Amino acid sequence: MSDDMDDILQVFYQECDEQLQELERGLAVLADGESGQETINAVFRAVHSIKGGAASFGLDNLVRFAHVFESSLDGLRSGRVVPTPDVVKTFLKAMDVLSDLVTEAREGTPVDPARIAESQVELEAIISTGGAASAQADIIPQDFVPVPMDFEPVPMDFEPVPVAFEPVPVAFEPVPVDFDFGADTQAEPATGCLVVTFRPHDALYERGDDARNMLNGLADLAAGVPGGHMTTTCDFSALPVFEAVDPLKSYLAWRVVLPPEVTEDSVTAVFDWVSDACDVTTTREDGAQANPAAALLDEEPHAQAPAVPAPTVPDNVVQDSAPVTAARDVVAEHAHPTEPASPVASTAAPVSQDVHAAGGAHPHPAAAGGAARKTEQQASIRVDLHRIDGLMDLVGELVIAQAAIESLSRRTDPAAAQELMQGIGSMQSLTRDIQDAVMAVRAQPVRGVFQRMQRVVREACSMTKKDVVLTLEGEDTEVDRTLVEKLTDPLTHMLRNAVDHGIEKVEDRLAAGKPAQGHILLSAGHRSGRILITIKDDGAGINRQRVLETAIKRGIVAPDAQLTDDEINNLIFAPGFSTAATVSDLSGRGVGMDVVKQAILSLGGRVAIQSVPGEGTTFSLSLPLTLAVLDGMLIAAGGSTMVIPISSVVEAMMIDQRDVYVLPDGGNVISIRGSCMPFIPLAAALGLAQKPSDEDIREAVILVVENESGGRAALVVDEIRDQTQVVIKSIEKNYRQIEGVSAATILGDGSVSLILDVSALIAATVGRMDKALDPRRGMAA
Amino acid sequence: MVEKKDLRVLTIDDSRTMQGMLRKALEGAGYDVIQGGDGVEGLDVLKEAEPPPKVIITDINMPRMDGFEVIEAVRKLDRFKHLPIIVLTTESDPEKKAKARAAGATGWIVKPFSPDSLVAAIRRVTA
Repeated sequence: MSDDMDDILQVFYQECDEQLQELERGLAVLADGESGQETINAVFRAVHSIKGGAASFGLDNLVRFAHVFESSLDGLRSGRVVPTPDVVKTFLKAMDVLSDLVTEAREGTPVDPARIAESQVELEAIISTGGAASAQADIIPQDFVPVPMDFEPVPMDFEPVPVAFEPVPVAFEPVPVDFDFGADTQAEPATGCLVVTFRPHDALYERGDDARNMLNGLADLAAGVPGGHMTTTCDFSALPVFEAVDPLKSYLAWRVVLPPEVTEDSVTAVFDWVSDACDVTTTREDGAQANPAAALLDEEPHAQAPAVPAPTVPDNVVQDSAPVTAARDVVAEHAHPTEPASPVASTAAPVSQDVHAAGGAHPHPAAAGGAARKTEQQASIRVDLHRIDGLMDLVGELVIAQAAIESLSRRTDPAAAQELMQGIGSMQSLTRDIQDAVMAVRAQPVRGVFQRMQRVVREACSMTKKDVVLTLEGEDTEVDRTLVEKLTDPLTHMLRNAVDHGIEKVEDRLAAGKPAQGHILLSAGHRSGRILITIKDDGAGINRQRVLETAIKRGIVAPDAQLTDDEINNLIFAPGFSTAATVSDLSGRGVGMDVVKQAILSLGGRVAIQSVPGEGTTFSLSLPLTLAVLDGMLIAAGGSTMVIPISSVVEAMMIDQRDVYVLPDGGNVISIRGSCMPFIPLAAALGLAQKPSDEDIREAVILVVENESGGRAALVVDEIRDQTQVVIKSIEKNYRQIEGVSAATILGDGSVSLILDVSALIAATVGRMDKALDPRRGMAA
Repeated sequence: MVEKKDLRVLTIDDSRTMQGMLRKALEGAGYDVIQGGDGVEGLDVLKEAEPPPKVIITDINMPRMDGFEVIEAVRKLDRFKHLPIIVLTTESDPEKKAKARAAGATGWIVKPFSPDSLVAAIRRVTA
C-alpha cells in the first residue's frame, strides 16, 4: 500500500474512533429513553460511515458486520424498529463488536467469530421482528464486495428501462451524419449489428447532462471492439425552422449502429442513469438495415453532435474523423439548452410522460433550500497536533525569556527597575493568559474516555454476572489532551475493580436491603486548578478487617502495626496486594491497583479513598490540568537550584535541632508538633554532598513535603529562593530516568534545573529506613 | 486516460477518509480537486471557487445538509443550474436513486469506487 493510502488509512481509523464515540453517545441517549430523529440519524450515519470507509480498504469483516448493524439501525431510522431497552442493549453490544473489529483491522488482534456471529444474529432478529428485512439487505452483499483502490472499473449504476422509440413526424428528410472514427473505415458488418435509437428529453439537459455523453459512451463501446466502428445518424426532423428554434428544447435524435460484438446490456448501461430522461431503443439488426447508416456523410464530429439546437452553435460544427480515443480528448465548450424547460410536445412518447412529471417537479421543491439545517454546528477547524505542541513550546520559551528579563532587571538601578518591574508584571499576566489560552486549545473534554467506561462496565458486568449501571457526570470537563489519553488505563482498571470488588453480588445486595442493580457514578469537575475525578460505587465498602489481614499475611505491614482507617484503605494500592478470594476473570486480566496508583502519580495526580462499610467506596483522583507546566518552589541544596512542585509542599520552617532524633542506622527523624517523619537532608539524599553536620543543619530550612498518599517527610534544604511557574521538559526523553527526579526545566537565567519527585524521594528514604528498622508503619508509597 | 489539469472537481463528503481517497484518485488522474466537508460547506466552496468546478461529486448521507439538498440547492443557482453532479454513495436503494434523479443528479456511483470508475464517470458527464 502506498504511503498515501497508508495516510488515508490512518485518517480512516481516526474517523472510526470518532464515529464510535458518536455512536456511543447516540446510543446512550437512546438508552435514556429519548429517541430524537436527529440522534437516530447520527447513530446510523456513524455506522454507515465506518462501513463506507472500510469497504474502500477491503476490510471485509468490518464491512460485513457494519452492514448488518446498519440495516438494523435503518429499521430504527424508518420507525420500523422501536428502541426498546433490549434493542438498545443489542446495539450497544454490536457497537462493542464493531469497535473490536476496527481494532482488529488496525492492530490485527482477531475478534472471536462466535461473538460476531452472536451479535449478528441478534441484529438480524431485530431486523426481522421489526419488519425491516428490506430489499436493501439483499442487495448489499453484492454492492459491498470490498473494492480496494486499484481495480476493475465499476460501471455507473442503473436500472435498465428499455423505452420504445416513438417515430416523430418527419418534417423533412433526415440528414444522416456519420460518426466514423476508424481510419480504415469500411461498412459495418451487415448482420448482427446493434442499432440504438436515442432521443433525449429536455429533462436530460436540465440535469446537467448532455446527449453527447451518451454518444461518447456508445463510441467507447464501439472502440472496445477491435476494428469496431460506430455509425451515427442524426435525425433533425423535429427541428423547426430557425426562427422557431427554442434553445431550451431538445429537437434532435440519433440512430447509432454498433458492431455486432457490442451487447445490449452494455448499451443499457450507458443509458442507465438517463433512462427516464430519454427514449432509447436497442435492436439487433438482421443485416439489411444496418447498411444505410454506413454510407454517410462525414459531417459532424461526434463530440459536438449533441450541440443541441445546432443552429445556435455553428462554431461547434467542425471536422473530426480522428479515432475514438483521440476524439474523446476534446473537451469542447458546449452550449446546450440552459433553462429548465417545460414538458415538450415534440417528444411526447408514452414513457416520457412520467419522466417529465419528474423532471418538471425537480428543480425547486420549496423545501429544498439549504436553509433549514437540522443541527447547529459550532464553527471549528482541525489543527495538526504538532502545531499546537509547537505553540505550547514557544509559550514555554516565552515564560523562560520573561523570567530572564525579570532577573536582569533586578540588577539595574532600583529606581529604573521599579518601572521595569511594573512592565514585566503586566507582561507576566499576559503571558499567563496566553499560556492558558494555548492550554484551552489543547484541552479536550473527558467525554470520550468516560464513554469508553460504559463498555468497560458492561463487560465487567457480563463477566461477573452483576447488574451495574454507570452514570457519567461532568463529561464536558476539559483537561489537557495528553492527560486525557493517559486516563483511560487507570480508569478502566478502577471501574473494573469497582464492579468486581466494589459492588456486591445480587443476592448479597438484596440481603442487605439494597436494590439488585448496582450503581457507579463516574464524575469529573474542576477543583482549585486541578481536575477531580471521582468513582463512587454503592457497594459493600472496603472490608478493612480483611484488607488488614491480607496485608499482614503478605508482609506489607507488620502484624502489630496500628493503622488508621485511611491507611488501611490505602493498603489496596500497595504492590502485590489483592483481596479477591478467587482470581476472577477480571482480576486475572487486570493489573494491580498499585499500577493504577503509579499511573496516577506519574501524571502528577493524587488518589484518595473514602469508604463506608455497607454504603460504598469513593475513589477521588485529583490531577493537574496539564502535564506541560508546573508551579514550583525554587530551592537551593548542595550548591544546585532545584524545583519542588508546590502541590507537594505542606509547609516550610526553620529547624529546631532538639526535634531531630537519630535512628540506629544513622538516619534521622524529626518530630514536628508531635508527629514524627523522616528527616531527609536533600543534598545528601541526591548524592550532592556528604551527610550534613549538626552545624550545617542548624542553618538549614526544612520543607514538609507530602507524597500522594499523604505520607510526609521533612526535606532539608539550604535556602528557599523563589516560587515560579516552570515549563516541564522531559528528562527521560533527553537523557534517562533518574530516581528522585521527575523532570527538568530551564530557569530564567538560562540554567537547567531539576524538578524533584517528592514521592520517590520519600519512598527511597523510607525504604532504607524500613530495612534498618522494624517499621512502625508501612507507608503506602 | 487524459490529463485534465484544467478540470476542477468539487467533492462533498463528510468522511475524511473518503475525501482523502477522492483526492488521491482524482489528483492521480490529473484533476484539480476542491473539497467540502458537508453539504453546507460544499455549497460555500462552490460559490466561492474561482475557477468554478466543472463537476460535483457528492455523498448523500451527511450531517447538516444531505446530498439531495445539495443537488437541489445547486440546481437553484443560476450559474450552476447545469453543472454535472455525480452522487457517490454506499446506497443502492432504487428509491434513493429516483430521488436523486428527481433532484437533478447527473450520475450515481456506488462506493467503494475504483479510481478508474470514478474518472470514467466524470469523463462521461464532462465530455
